[in-house]
Amino acid sequence: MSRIFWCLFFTAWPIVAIVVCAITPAMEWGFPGNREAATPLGQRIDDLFYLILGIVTVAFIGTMGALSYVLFKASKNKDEKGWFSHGSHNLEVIWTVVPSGVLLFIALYQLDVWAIYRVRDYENRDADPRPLHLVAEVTARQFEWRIRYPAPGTRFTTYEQVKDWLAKPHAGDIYAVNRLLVPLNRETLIYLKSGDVQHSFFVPDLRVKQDAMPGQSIDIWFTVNRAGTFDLTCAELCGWGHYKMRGEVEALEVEELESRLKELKQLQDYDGFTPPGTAAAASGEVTR
Amino acid sequence: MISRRLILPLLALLPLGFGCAGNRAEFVNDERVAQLDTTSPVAADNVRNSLLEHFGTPNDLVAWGALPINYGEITGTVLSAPDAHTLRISLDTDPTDPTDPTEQFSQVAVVLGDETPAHRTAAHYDAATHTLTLDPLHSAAPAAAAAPGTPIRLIGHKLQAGRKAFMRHCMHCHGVTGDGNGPTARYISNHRLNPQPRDFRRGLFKFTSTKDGYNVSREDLRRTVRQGLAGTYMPSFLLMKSEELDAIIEYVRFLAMRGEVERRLLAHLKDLLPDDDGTPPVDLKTLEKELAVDGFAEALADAAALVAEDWTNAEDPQNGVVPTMARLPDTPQSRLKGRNLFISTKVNCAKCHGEGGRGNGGFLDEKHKNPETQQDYDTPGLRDDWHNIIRPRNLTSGVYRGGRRPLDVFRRVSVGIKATPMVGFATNVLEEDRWHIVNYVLSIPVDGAFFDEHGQQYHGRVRLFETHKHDSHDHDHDHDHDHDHDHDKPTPSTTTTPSESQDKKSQP
Repeated sequence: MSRIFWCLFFTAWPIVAIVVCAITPAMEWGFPGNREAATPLGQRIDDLFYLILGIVTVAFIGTMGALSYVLFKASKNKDEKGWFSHGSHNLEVIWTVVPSGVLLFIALYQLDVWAIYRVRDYENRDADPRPLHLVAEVTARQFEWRIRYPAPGTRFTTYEQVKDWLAKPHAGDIYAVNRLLVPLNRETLIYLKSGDVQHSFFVPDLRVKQDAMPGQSIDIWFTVNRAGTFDLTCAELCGWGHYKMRGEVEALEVEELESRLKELKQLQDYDGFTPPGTAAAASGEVTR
Repeated sequence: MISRRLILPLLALLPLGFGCAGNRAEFVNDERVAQLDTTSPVAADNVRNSLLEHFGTPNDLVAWGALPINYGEITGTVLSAPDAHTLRISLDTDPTDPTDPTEQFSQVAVVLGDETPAHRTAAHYDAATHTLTLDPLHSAAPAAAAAPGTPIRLIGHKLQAGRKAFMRHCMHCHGVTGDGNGPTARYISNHRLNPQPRDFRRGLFKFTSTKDGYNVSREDLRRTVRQGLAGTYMPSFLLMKSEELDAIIEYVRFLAMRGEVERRLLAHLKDLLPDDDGTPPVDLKTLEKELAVDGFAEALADAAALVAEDWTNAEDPQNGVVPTMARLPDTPQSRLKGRNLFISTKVNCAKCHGEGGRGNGGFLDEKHKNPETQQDYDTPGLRDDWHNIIRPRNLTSGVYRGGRRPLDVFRRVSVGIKATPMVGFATNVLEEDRWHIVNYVLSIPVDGAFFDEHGQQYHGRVRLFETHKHDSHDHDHDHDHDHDHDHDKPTPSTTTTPSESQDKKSQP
């Protein structure tokens, strides 16, 4: 009785695992964004995840299969004594070299993605002719995202200009909170700061996650290739109101982005005066 | 055998079946109600009971018709009344919360025909069958009396929604009662640079668009909640759904009015309060009869009427601060005029904000009078109406709590910040001059607070992000009281190019 129970118990788990794997796509339990990253780099990161998942699956099924084979084989054979492999030099070498090889392969294979994601900065891009869009400075605070955009139409050509812009407020800067507007299909750059403690800028759909460190200004690069609004969350427990740090990243066509920023600028420059005779302009009081 | 083995895991799962029951939220009364208990329990009970009767408890709210609060009302018609506690109804508008149509009407007041409210409370509404179940505990008159065709009003769903949202998003700082004393408030109190969470009970809110002496408007509260107060612990709730936001604002107004009615009742009964050493007033019995028994109902009605008037007036556009002229072009001349007003004896912003706008004016070092006792506070520093030490804004930081639009700064200059020593200058400074001050103040973070002899703006000696190599000796960084520029070379602005100044002239 007890034996049957445990047999069923341990058989049930692989079945549950297979069922969960099978229905995952339909239930959208996979990666955020309906399993597709909204950045090219994010897609490559996903590919890495799938590669590792594949390797782990093969290893798991292989070892479990081997284990089952040995168990069933041995349970039928009551005459022969077991062979103790402890201290076998050949086996030790095999199970050290094979996983090391696999790990080494993963380590080398992902280097490119890591390099694109983290190992580059504005300074080294000065010679790069591709257009670059410096979008904003995002300051994580307890418990909100304060955003500063350069004045609409600003183009930075050198790193010195970027440093100067980051260092102090400028006339024409646009200030916003919790909703970050980014261009579509442009290599974009935001600088992440922290106003108080450690936070983490996490946009699951873009596969972007970067800690914000007090006293540092950290660059984040991405190219959004799908229009839409993506959740922005804080991925570092930053205090009792951590859960309140809900934001949005909205990807827009470049022209639309420019007009939205101009609109924000107009709202920011609102002086509340309505010339007599005109209908009360509601636009200024609307808090976007 | 198996069952014995499984009993432990099953026991371990057992606690999952229990919720955290029994944690009922309560409104806390002003501490003076407890003081009143020591001299006149009758008066204290009257205060408590009238608050309970007209405002209820967080889990059993009361919609008092005397107050200008949008409690949320849906009208409809009775179709039939199958039994004493069930009504089939047809609603004129659908329940507004699609996620929670059945919960939305729990505890909502049910008014049949044109009778007075609060006779019945709904327990449950089934949107599919249009069936409203009444709560038998809170329903005095049987529903069977309702003939088909009787008009029906469901009152209070918005307040309920507001309470729920407030408990989720706001309560932990502002407290269940709105007294600014929630569980996380102490983390803010301990933070030297941040103001306390607002205590709603006095009806005072700092950043308003209304004139001096007027309450905050719904639009102001909406702006504060959506944009947050930059530089404070009040975060932005920009992405909150607008229905939820509106409900929270009504609930905040409800809490503020509850606190104000309580304060006004206590002011009416202040002669019954014991002295500082606990001795009751001499003619207690006469006073008690006069104030707490005979005059109490009238005092309550007066309190409600005055509170209602204040909050109704706040919504009147007539009482808002609206410029009668457009913002003046942001020229160097305008900024210089603003600067001269900033340090003038007439306006004297520098008294608190400092010569360099860093929020370190000399007024901070003086002891100030407690408006309630008319005696000086023990320690120097500016205080708000809640007696907390507050600091004047550092205008070089570019962080504006009440908003950075020219309109916002204009309003601050015109009517000040309510409940703080920041006064308004609407009466004694011309509107034109106030716009000069706005232009100057908004230019400080970018171009600096000082002007050199050529009219060129420059930053003071202490720069947040740049170190001055020629900035050599012994500067006291906390003082900007210098007009001598001999050891302080002007830093020509690198940011304002002629084209940018040109842009700024074309204000919408």
